[in-house]
Amino acid sequence: MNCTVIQRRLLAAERPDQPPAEIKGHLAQCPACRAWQRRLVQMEQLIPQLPVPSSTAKEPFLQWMKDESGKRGQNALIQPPAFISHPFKKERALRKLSLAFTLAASLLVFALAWWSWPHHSVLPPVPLQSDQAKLERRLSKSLHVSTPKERVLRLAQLADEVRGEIRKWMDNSERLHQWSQFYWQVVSRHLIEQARQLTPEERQAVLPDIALRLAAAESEATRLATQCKSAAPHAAAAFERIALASQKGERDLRALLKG
Amino acid sequence: MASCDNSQDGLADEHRLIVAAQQGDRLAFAQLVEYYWERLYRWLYRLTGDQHMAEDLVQESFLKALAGLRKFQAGTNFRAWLFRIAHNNYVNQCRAAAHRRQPLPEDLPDSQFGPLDQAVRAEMLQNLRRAIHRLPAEFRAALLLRVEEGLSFRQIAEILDLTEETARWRVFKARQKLLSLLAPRPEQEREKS
Repeated sequence: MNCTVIQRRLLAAERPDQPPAEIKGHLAQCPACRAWQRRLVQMEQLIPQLPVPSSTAKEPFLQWMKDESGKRGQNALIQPPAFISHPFKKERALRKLSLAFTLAASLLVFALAWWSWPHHSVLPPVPLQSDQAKLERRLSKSLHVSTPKERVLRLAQLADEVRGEIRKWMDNSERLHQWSQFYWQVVSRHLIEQARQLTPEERQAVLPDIALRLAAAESEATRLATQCKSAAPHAAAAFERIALASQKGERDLRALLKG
Repeated sequence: MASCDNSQDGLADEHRLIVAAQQGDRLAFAQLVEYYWERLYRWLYRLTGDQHMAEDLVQESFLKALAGLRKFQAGTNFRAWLFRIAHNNYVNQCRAAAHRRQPLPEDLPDSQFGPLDQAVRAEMLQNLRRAIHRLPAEFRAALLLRVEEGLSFRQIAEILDLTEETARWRVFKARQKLLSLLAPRPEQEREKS
């Protein structure tokens, strides 16, 4: 075997540091291939040492899961979310029935709305990307004010608005996903980042009210998620994301208030 | 380098936790989250180069895993299943973001080395990090599963939905490209001599 073949086999090996006997034989006599193998092995050993910033989202997520289970009893078996197929036939049948009723009611509402809507003024649907651009502009407007305090107030306002407006997308899973992701971004990243820049006095003046609003948002989003679970799992997932972002936001703000 | 043998580094109670979680015990699922969060996060961070995006993807993956847990066959490879969900999320995210480029984060030097070693090491790691981010995402994903998670080509294939040979080929190409990206350029060689 020549050097090119040896190097290609090392590249394709699961463990280039532990080559098979025939390659070891070549390496023992060929300093160039030995040096080449050393480079490859060193490079692979360095990769796990590349720094990774520590994750701050794990604890709130775990806490949320524990809180969810705590609400229903510490060690009790917890009902799986509604979008998991249910083990009991009777309940499954009931769920199917309620889904059928929901669908029929939705169709009826849709038909009525269609009938009463002025058809000549129906606008073409706004593409997702243009919606995203509008959301980004709103975020950028909230961030481009002079003081952290103003930014915090504007971001909290934006979060309230997004939460209010998201309901118009109840029947659009892509948009619900997009808007709930945006809400997550506003609350979990930007609001907390800006809140960290407040002076202790400003924190005491501004944050308690926002924390209260986030707590209310969390409980409302949790309620909506529960309501939607059987009929619209995609909506439930979006509201769960909003609940989680609000809960995490509230907890972070309370931690900042304690200093 | 990570070993191919995964039997030793698994979660001892994993099977019991999975079965309990499948029956609706969220505390059991929380323990699985606790165990797998960092590994999934590291991999996704290296794929995306963005802490927040990686965290969002990890969270999304666990929510999806929770939602689909009943479909998971207890006794098969939970880690591969979880990483596969995460990879699908990552691919969807890339499509949605239409290849929006993320800036690479600044790294902190490692404090266990002296100032000179630290500078050399920091530069070496910086170069390696840049080179990894220049790899095509599919090569990067396969290589990181091999090197950081110590998975076999068969397990990588399972996660990335490939044949074992394609997984091997991707790792091969990733290594080849990394070595060429990290090779000293001729002008540097001349300067040294």
